[in-house]
Amino acid sequence: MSQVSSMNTDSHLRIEGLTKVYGSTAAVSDVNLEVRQGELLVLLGPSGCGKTTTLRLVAGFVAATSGRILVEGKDFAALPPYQREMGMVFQSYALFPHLTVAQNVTFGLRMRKLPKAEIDRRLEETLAMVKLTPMADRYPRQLSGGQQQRVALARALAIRPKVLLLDEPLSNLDANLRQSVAREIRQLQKAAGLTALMVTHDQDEAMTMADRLVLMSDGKVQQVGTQEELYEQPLNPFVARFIGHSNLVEGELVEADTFRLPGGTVLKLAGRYAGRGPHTLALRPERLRLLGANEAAPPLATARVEDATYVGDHIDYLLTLEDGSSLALHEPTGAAGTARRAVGETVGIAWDGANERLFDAAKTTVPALAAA
Amino acid sequence: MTARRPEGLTASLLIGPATLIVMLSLVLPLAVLARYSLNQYDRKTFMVEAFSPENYLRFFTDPFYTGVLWTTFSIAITTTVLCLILGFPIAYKLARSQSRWKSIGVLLIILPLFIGSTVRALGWMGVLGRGGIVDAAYGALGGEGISLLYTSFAVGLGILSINLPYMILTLQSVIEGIDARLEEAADSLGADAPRRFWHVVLPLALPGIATGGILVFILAMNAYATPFLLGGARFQMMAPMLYREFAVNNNWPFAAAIAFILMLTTLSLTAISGLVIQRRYKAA
Repeated sequence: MSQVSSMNTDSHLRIEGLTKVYGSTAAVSDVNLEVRQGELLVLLGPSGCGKTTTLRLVAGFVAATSGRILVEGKDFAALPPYQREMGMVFQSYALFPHLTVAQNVTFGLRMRKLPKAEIDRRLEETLAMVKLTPMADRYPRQLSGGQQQRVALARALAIRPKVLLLDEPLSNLDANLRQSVAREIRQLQKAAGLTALMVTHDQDEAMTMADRLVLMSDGKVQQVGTQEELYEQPLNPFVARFIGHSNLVEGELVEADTFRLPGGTVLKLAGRYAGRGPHTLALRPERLRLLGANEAAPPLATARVEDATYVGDHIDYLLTLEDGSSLALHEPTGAAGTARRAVGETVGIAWDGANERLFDAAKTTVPALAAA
Repeated sequence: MTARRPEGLTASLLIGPATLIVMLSLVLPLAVLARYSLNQYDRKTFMVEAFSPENYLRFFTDPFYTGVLWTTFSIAITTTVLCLILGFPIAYKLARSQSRWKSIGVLLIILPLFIGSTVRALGWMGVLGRGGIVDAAYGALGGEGISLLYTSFAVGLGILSINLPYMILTLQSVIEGIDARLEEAADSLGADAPRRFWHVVLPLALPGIATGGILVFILAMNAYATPFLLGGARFQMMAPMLYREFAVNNNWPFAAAIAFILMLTTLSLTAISGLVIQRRYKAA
């Protein structure tokens, strides 16, 4: 791994203008990504967003319509999978059922015709890494789901891949196993200093495992960034809704700080904006505040409590604005004065300028004007 | 609480009729046939009650009959191997196809099964016989008239064409059961197409190869219409010979013995191959 970091670039895997067209629809269109040496980049998105196709393009199972896949500066796009040296972990594990754990793990090494001593050494080392040494002579069907997943990982790691590809590696596991396997994958990947690309539809999984995330939709990259960047600075309404479920309110910016809903309801905004006309306002439920009865600050909006559910760490409110449009609000519990409001009660809502995101008709972020 | 009893009763009630039918239609005639094979033949009275192995001895001491058994076995094994070699790529292609033409392809494989083997043998006669298509083409190229009929080639070709669909359909369903991701996994681990076939597809398809092979082998061993029409008198196989002993020579005891020899040969070969493949599969 050290010979790579000595190279004068920190992007280990680079995807340029990657496009895959099936018939008249583009499954993946013009995807540009960089994965740094030792980084775990997670492709996240709803099903059919092109994340899996992107991974399969990188693995070589699908031929790209156009674009380049550069590993250490060398274009891999024209190579067949068996020459790409990418370790792939499949959602279904895809362990060879007729081979033992040891034979599965050494499959790639035997295909490379490595000397027997080297194969044995790596087998021992890899099995120890995934803590499966006692299982070497078992068949996959004799293992639990979590163990099978570790064999799949060991098999991919044994070939010392240039890039580790993970296709929904946790989705076939029990919910209570997921966290520990996720941590294990993360540890092994970090320990080996492997550059990795992972696909998932599960936001929590993506958030906990990724160094950086790529949110995709309709075959296009919507946003690339760290967890904080995607959560705090979504670039468009899709990102705002997908990461952490924002309230998306359609309306019109009639004044710098006034937002009118189609039903006529008027909201005050925390910030001031230059544009006018149709916009989308994104508000996170957990960043909205219910105003107390004797609070000095004027409410930005008033609403009626439709439903209030106590879920432990917060109270889950469903509110309706005057025009009938609904708004979710999460009020943290524990602080003094967080009694559950009665259904039917009229409440004032407020939020901070940093927590409102406004998008124009072209679905791009509208920045707030600097405070005068 | 006492659900076991009624359940067991229902089960035996359900299995009962089928068992009875199998007993009456399979075991009973076989027992009768076995008894016949120990009887003696007489020119005037045809069958004489006896208890002698002479029909079996006659078969195994006469090189003509053992020759026919050997020919039958050779044809069966050759066509089985050819079915496998020719059928596998087609079955694989069909099984892995995502195309909307796939069902058309399957239909094309099944279609010949709608036509009886007699009709198809007649078709081959038109192709291979004197004045047939091959003859005409050969003549057009300046050759003397030829006939490929009544040769091992004609019979082999006929049996092959009849058995190939069975092999393809059996293999196809087995290959479809092999997760395509396994091949992708092998691919990503550095195995090129031939090695993916050898190390992954072949070992996992082995049960299907066994099933298809046994099915096709049994069909070939017992082929009747095809060797009768395409082999004629010059190329003898077991089933037509059995019929001749039975219907033409009226020698029921000897025909019964031939039937048993054919059946037991087929059964034992099938059992042996099954065991061998099972062992290999377990070891792999």
